[in-house]
Amino acid sequence: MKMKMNRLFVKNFELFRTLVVILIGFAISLILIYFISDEPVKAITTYMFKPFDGIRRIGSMIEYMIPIMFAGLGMCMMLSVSQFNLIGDGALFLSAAAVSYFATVLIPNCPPILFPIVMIVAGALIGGGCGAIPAYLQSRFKTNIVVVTLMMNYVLILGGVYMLLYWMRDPSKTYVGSLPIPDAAKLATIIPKTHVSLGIILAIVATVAVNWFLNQTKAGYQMRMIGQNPQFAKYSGINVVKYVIIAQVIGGALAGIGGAVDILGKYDRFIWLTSNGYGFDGMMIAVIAKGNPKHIPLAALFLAYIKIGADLVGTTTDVPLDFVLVVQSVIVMLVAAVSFMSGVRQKAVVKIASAEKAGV
Amino acid sequence: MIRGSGNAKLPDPNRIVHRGLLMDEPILLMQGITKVYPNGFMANSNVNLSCRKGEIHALLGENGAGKTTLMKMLFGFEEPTEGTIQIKGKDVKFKGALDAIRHGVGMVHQHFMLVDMLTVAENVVLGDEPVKAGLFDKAGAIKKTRDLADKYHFNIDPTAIVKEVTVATKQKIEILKALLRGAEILVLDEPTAVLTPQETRELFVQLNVLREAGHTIIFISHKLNEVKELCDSFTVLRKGRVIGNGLVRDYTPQMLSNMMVGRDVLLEIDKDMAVPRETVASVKNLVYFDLSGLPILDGVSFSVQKGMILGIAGVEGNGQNELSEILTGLRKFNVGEIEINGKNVKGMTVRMLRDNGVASISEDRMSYGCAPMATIAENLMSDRFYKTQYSRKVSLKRKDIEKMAEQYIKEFNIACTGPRSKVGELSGGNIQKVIVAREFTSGASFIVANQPTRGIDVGATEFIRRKLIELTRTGEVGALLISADLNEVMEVSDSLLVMHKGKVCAYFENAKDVTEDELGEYMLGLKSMTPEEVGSALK
Repeated sequence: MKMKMNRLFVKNFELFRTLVVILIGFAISLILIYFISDEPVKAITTYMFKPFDGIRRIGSMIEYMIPIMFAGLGMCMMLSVSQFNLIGDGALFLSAAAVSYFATVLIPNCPPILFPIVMIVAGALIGGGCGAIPAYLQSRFKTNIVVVTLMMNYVLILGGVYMLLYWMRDPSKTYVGSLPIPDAAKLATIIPKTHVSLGIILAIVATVAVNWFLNQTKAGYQMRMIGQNPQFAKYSGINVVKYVIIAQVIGGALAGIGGAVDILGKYDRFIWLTSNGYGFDGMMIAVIAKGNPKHIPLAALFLAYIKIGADLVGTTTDVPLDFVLVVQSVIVMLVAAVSFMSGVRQKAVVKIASAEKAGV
Repeated sequence: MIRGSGNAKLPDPNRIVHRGLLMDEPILLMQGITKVYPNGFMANSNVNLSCRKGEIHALLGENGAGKTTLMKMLFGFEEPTEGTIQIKGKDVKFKGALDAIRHGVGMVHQHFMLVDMLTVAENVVLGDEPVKAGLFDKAGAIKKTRDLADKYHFNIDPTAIVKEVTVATKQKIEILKALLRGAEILVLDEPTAVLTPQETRELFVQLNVLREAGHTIIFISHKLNEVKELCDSFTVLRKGRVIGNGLVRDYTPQMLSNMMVGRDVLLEIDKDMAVPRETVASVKNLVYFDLSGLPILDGVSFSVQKGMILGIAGVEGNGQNELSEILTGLRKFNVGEIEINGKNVKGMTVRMLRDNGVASISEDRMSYGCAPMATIAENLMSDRFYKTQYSRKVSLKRKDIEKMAEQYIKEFNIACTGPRSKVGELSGGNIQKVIVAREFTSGASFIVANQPTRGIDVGATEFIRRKLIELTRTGEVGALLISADLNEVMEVSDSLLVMHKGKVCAYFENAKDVTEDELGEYMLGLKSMTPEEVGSALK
């Protein structure tokens, strides 16, 4: 019986480890609240339970999940070829801005139904283009993908802001915002009283699609082999440069779709002046999911939960919003710490191996 | 095999027994050593090892038997999961290699750890440099090295640059390094694997001198005749356990071999005569320069016919790897002409070459041969997933691929739990079988096998060699066998080339026509055939 437990533990070690990490992160946030707050009980219950209190709040969690799932899936594509390409944030921002520009200024009279489809495709193309640039630079000139994408994010985000300020700003408003996005372009809301749009369904479809693509198709297989051992891929006859670039183009495209879907599902006007950090949230959930697209929805739900919980704590109690950043950082750090808990695993492994030897 | 014209002074067996049995305390005692790796692999299980002062102790076992693991623990690289180590009767616990050195344990690794750009003397004193007026004392280093070399009769030039010396000299530097730090127990990990027969003889003379001087040597090997010739006592490991120990003189090589593998190993391979048919690959005047402009391959020419195996012998690093990478499309060449199946292959990609009938076993199986985190099925399909048998326009035919994998697991005796096992969790021999299964079933007509059995157990080695011979005997396949293992290259090949410094320096139409000693001389560049003789390799 005990042996069975040991075996189960070793087999699902990554899952156990991630759960423990999340629990630790959660415990740290509770301790933090306890020390910061004058009314810790209220703050802690707000943090833990308020996100589920009412359809509106559950709705805001799901709303938050939509763009970060796309960004996370995009990051899974990057990780599948072992490239830490962080273009997602900029790609998502720029395509959100560009899609707003198309919808408000360029083709505001596109027929309904076709309209959002055209917009999403446009978002994918722009995101894909953003992903292609650092991928090409890396394979052609051996530039460092992390440095290039971090720098490029500034360019893309400020490019998006430029579009807002000079190409589509509504002069009749006192605040900075684009012209109104035509209703025909918007994605239908599927849960009343919330902003949860069709986007969540698209995000789930995208999850299934990316999972299928990576595991069941020829192209996905080649990308995974490249990610695991590029030399082996080359020796087997796989065109490494081609598939490394394609994977990153798809990754950028997914982030781009995320930007388009977020704008079309939630906003009346494009009003972003800085990044929302969706791209980096996507990176975080991809790391928590260990690059496995199947686990993206769960990771996204978890992140949305602590984010909304922290939002509520920040607005309704005396705890500052920033503490959510601390929690996130701890969790990502622990998930990324490869040998965290390896000692526990080693002990279980020793027990199993000893038992097996004794049995032989 | 090694015995012969060498002047190795063989110790009087009676004296060894006297010393071995009557010396009181063992200098090294490892007791109840167990080591479990994080992946659950139990590399050592309750291993006992004891060595006496002034003896050469052979640590025997197949690859993967746990010899290297045991020595890593002795040298502080790994910590035993259980068990104790005693040196001179005192319990020790090493926190690292430095700790082990302090206790008088020295190790000569299979892969030398030397700074190529420095001189011999600088390497010997590295980490313990003589200082004069606060600066490195070069003359002092040379003197120190020379004194030490003279004391143990090592013939070595302290001022030579390491990059330019032979493998045997590098080994001597490693031994001197250990001696300078006061090593009393010296571990040599397969020291003869990289040496020619002549160099091996010289090494044995030196080891005998060290024994006379009272040093204890642990000699890791699986070459039984060397053990018989050199060692006093032995311990045999199999699958992480001690199978036997005793005095070497009480056992025949056959008895030791049975202990190592648990069955009789066929040291010779019976094979039918090759019937060479049409040429499948021909290489004409191949030249390849490295980045610094040095010729790595310098006018290599030969041809391989279907139905035969052409072996390439040579000390590693004489252009064999570059040749194999060029033939498989991983590397571009500068001058010359290569024709495979009647097509000029210049500029072909790996995929094009594979489609043109080339398959290859890389010498570095973990870097090129496999993706360790991927499943067996995924590793088996890497060269053929795109064929209609295994995929549709976009998606893979998972079921057909698994069926294929199951069939090859059976056919090639791959020990695993199924096609979904991760390749990285298999043993070295089984990983190599996965690679061989892929390359031998790709339908290729030209197979480049570069070190196909390096570092794997005897069972897998024999299996792979037999498969290679079987495949060529169908008459549809020609093979190029590159190997630094003399036994392999002589037993398996039908014809034989020797490469030295990027050139073909000898060709034997019949591999049986050459003796090991003669081959060694060609490998070392002591002898070389005329261009006409060598030219007959190209038909």
